Amino acid sequence: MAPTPTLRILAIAILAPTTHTPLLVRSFSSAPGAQLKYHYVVHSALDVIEERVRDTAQRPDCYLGLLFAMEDLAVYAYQTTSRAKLVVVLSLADNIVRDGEMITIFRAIQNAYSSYLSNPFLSLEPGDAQQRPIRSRKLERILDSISGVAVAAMH
Amino acid sequence: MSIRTPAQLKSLGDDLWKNRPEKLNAELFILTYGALVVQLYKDFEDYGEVNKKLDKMGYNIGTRLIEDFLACTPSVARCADFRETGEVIAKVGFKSFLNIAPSVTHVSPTEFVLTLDENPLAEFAELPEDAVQGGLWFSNVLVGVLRGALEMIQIAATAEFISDTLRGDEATEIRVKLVRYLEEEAPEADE
Repeated sequence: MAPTPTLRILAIAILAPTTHTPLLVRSFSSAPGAQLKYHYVVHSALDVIEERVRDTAQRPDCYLGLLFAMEDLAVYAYQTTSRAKLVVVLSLADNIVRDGEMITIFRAIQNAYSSYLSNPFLSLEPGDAQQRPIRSRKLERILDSISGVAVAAMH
Repeated sequence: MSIRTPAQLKSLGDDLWKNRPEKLNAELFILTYGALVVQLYKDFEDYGEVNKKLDKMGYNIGTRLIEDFLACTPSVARCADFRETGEVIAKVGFKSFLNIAPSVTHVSPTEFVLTLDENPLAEFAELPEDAVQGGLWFSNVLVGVLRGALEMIQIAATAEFISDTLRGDEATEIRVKLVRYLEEEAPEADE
């Protein structure tokens, strides 16, 4: 019998390019106050992200790796080609998470995000699509399944 | 030997799609169509009007598309009845142009319903609430294409969407109804 997995995706966040405004913070924990907690975690991650991004100025599309760990969480980030930031919060576990696995997860999130941006009806709303908070049931459903899939793949 | 049975039609459709030399980049096509629908709404600000315009555009496309279709399918026998017309449209028409294979349900000898499991036109689209309320049929160009193409082969028919997964329905369905067979006459001028 495989031991109960202690590794799981607790939250996924999408941050706008340049301004780093959180466009979507989706938490998968049912604990009370979780949503607010992950907003705080993502916000704290911003400093580390900005520092790492400055170092890797030459290639926009890249995996920023493990940003930091706090309490029982590990925070990873990825910068897309449009310089949007994807942040994934994992619950810490004994098993090391390989870069390859994280990159696969980030690629899936990135594909979901570009599909969202390809919705032609986005242009009906005023303002810049890349800076607008995300309200898309389709995207949320995909993120839900990504977090579910990650759990299944880990064991 | 002419092609007639559903199985033969299906493999003809598959072959036509495979052998089509000029395939268009799917994303470009999908994004173009989406931009078109949204632009129509911006211009007319009424989803009912958008439906009508998409139908009209589809009609103009269909009257021309049928020529290409007939040229590519010399082996398909003249349809004996409207039921066969439905089979050819689903298995050869949709497959060779859009690479999708809707299923056909024959409601009556003069009516069939096409059920699209997937709709490439709507790949990225998410309808806003007012589009659903306003009755938008996002892929309405398809019903115009069917109507126009059939008219060029002397079949007067109506085609309309009866459900669409984009609107939250269970399935995406088009109902095609035969009105009457036409005598040989000059084609309708472009609307």
